[in-house]
Order: sequence, then C-alpha cells, then structure tokens
Amino acid sequence: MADLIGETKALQASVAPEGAVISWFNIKGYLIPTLSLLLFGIAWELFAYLSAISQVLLPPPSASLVRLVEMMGPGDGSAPSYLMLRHIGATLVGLLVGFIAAALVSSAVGLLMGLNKTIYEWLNPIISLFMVIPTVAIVPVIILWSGLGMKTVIIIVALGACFPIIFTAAAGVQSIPKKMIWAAQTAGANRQQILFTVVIPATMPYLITGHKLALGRAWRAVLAGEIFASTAYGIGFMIYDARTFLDTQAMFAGLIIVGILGLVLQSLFFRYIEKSTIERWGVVSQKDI
Amino acid sequence: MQTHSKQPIKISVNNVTKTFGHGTGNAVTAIDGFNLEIRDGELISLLGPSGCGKSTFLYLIGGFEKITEGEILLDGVPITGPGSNRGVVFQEYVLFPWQTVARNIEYGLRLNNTPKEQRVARVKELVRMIGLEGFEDVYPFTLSGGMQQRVSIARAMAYDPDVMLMDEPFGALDAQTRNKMLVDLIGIHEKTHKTILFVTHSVEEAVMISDRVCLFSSRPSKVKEIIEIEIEHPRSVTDDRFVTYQKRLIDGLAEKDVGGQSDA
Repeated sequence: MADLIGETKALQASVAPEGAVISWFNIKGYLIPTLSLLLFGIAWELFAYLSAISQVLLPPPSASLVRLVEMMGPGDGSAPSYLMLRHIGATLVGLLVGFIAAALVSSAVGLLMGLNKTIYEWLNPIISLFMVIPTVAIVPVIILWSGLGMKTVIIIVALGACFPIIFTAAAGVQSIPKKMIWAAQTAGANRQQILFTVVIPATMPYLITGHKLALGRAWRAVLAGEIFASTAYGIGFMIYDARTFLDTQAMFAGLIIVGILGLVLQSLFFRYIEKSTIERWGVVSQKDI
Repeated sequence: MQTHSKQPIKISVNNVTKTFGHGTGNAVTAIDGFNLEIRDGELISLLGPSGCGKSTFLYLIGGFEKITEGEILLDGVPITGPGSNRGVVFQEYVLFPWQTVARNIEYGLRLNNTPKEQRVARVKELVRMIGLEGFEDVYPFTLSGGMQQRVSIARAMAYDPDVMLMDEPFGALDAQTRNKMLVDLIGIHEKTHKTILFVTHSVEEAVMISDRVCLFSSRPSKVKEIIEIEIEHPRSVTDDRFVTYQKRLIDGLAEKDVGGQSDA
C-alpha cells in the first residue's frame, strides 16, 4: 500500500508542474495552425515573385497586408478616411441586423411548427423548397423589389439565415420526450408555462445549432448581397468595386478580412452561449431519453 | 397494510376501455372493460407482462391519455386531464437537464407561486428524504441513474400530491440500487401515507413493497386477480410467506387468460 502511494507521488512529481504540461499542450494547439498559415503565406509570396503570373493579377500577400493596414488607417485624403473600417462596419451591420431579424422571426415560426402538426405539415413543403434555392439566386429579384442599398442587403441576409433556424427549431420541439411534458403538466403547468419552462429550454441545443448554421449562411449572404446591391460600403462591395480599378491588392486585402472575420464569427460567437447552456447542462454528451 | 381495507376509496376505475386509433381500420384495444378500486393511502402494484397495457392504464389515471369508454373517478371526480393532485415518476427520470437538482425539485412549487422561504424549506426537507444533501446545486447529468430517479421522486412529491403514479421507476437501475430504492420507497410511503400506484413487471418488486398487487391479463388488459400481501415490513425475500406470494403471482401470470383473450 505504501509502495502504491510512493509510486503515485513519484508519478505526480514526474508530470509535476501541472500548469507547464497544460500550457505546453496549448502552445502545441496553436503552433501547428500558425506554422501552417505562415508556410502557406510564404509559399504564396514566393510564387507571386517567381511565377510568370503578373503581380497585378496575383499580388504577393505582403503587399496586400501593407495595403490592408493602409486602408485601416486615416489614409492620405484620396479616399474616405478609415475606409476599411467603414467597409467592415457596413458589413457587420448588414450581417447582424439581418441575422437578428431572421433569428427572432424564424425561432418563433420554427417553435410553432414544432408545436402544431398542421402548421408543420403545411409549411414544411414550402420551406423545403426555399431551402434548396441558394440565396444568391434570389438576389436579383430582391434588388428589383427593394432597389440597391443596405436595406436590400439586410433582406438578403435575413432570407439566407432564416431556413436553418426554422428547421432546427421545429425538429428540436418534436424531439422533446412527451413524458417530460407530462411531468410538467402533472406539476400543474399550463400551456404557456410549458412553453417557457420546458419547450424553449429543451429546444436550446437545437436552436444553438440552427443559429450557428444560419450565421454561416448569413455570412455568405451578406457578401453576395453587397457585391450585387451595395452602393458605397461593405467588404463585398469593396472587393467588387476594386475589380473595376484592377486594384488586386485591395481585393486580396478584402479577402483576408473576410477570412479572419469568418473564422471569428464561426468559432468565437457561439462559444459563450454553448458554455453557459448546453455544456453546463450536459446535454451535449447525454444519452437520448 | 390490511388496515387500508377500512380506508375510503381514492380512485375508482369503472368499466374503462382504451382503444388506440379508435374508429380507424387498425384500432388496437389496450384495455377492455377494466374495473378497479384503489383505497386511500395504499401502495398498489400493477403487475403484468410487457406490453399488457399496465403503463397505458397508469397514463389514463395520469390524464395523459384519453379514456375511450367508461370513467375514472379520483376523489369522486372524473379525471379529464393531468393535474397536480397526482405526481408522476417515469422509468426514464425525465428530469429537466437545464435545471439544478434543487430547481428540478421545486419546479411545481414555482408554478403555483409558493413563497421562496417555503420553497427552500420544502426542497431541504425533500433533499434530506432522498438522501442527496450537498447535491442541490449540481445538474442532473452529473448524477447516477439511481440519484436522478430520487430527484425525480422528490420533484413529483414536492407539491404534495395525494397520488403517486410510478411507471416502472426502478426498471433501469442495477439490482443493488433498486433494492435500496425499494426500501426507501416503503419508508416514504409509511411516512407520507400517499396512495401509490406502482407499475412493474417484477414479481419480487411487487411482493416487496405492495399492500395489494393487481395482476393484469395480457392485452387487452383486464384485472386478472387482486392479491393482498399480508406480510409486515420489513419484508425479506427469504421469508417463506414471501416465497409463497411470489409463487402465487408467477403462477397467476402464467395462467391462461380467462375469457380466451390471450391471443395478443
């Protein structure tokens, strides 16, 4: 027994400064992605310099980064100051307004579909049809109806975002074990109380997944919308507009921003919500009831 | 035990029939012309083979399923839907995973706006009863099956229903945990004198806890036999009388159904 304790202690000592082990793993976690991107950048840089392709068409990433930093700053007066920030701002406003509008309406529609079989049966075919039409294909029609500008971009984003939310919300409600509803009814819950104390929280894991999918679609939709429907600001507009001036450095600067913002939205946006809800409840790993 | 025979009738089941898909081509009759009287404060087991309709019968009393014909009276009033005069415990626990143990237990009390001090006191009392002191603030998924089922029992008892409906509550637990839960349930019953309907397919469980055992025939269900278990608590599986009752129930289950409805 004493041997065992001694052995355990030795083992603990050998792994010892526990923090060090963990932080080493963390470094390793970031190390490979960082190196991988860096190598990709270097390869691209070399290719831009060494290949026969004109640097006008394929600018080296270093030039695009310099251009990006310039555009972020106050500028030299030839263009509006802080131009890139204005573009980013316009894109984020379009994205968030459209996404939030879609989230509110679609969650409600999805919950209703989940709760009411008749509504589900009648709406499901229509929504299935719209779901398979890429948002970009509807853009020309929306432009015809509401003209060019931010309003149109917002409508396009909302259209792109709404269907995954509706579907997952409906599926979430339908997946609630009926015995869970029965338990609430027996405890004296009326219909409204069941909606707020059982149906909505029980649907949360599905709602979060649906909103994640929707945000991905909204991100694509906002860029597509801006390319076709913006008149002054927005990253999509900027990339498309730079094409007319053969300003490839600005185009790539825009793409770099699109990539970074996309990653941030995808990986960070829902982490907090997930941590404070479904992970805390253990719903993610819990076996089906 | 036997004293219950002097108690007033709590639940009266009169000629109840339950048909699923009633009026359609493939209607299935789960319960047919069922009659039963359950006395106030008794612990009655509903025992029968799997798929015999005993759970369906419990859901009718719960008000979760609609009665096709006949009526069930609870305190003389026909049951038309679920209500907080009954508490229900399912085999699958179905706790609310987004709420802590304490919040799960006080769910019914929050619904009827019980003042906070009373809620806290009641939760404390129930947590002690189920032996989960110190687990008030954890989420259900961190608990073992037996512990979750204890929380589920506490949740159903929190708003003090007269009748407890238990649908194979210990069916998913390992034998040791199950035995402990049975003993605890007997203790709770002796303390609270609630009317408990206990659905099970285990003869041993039925003999261990019941005042009476109602033997179900296979589908469509009828009452085959009602047997009073006249052994004082605590009961032991090695007791001769225990073995005799067990044998009698096993024989009862094996017996051909009266009326030739055993084709199901």
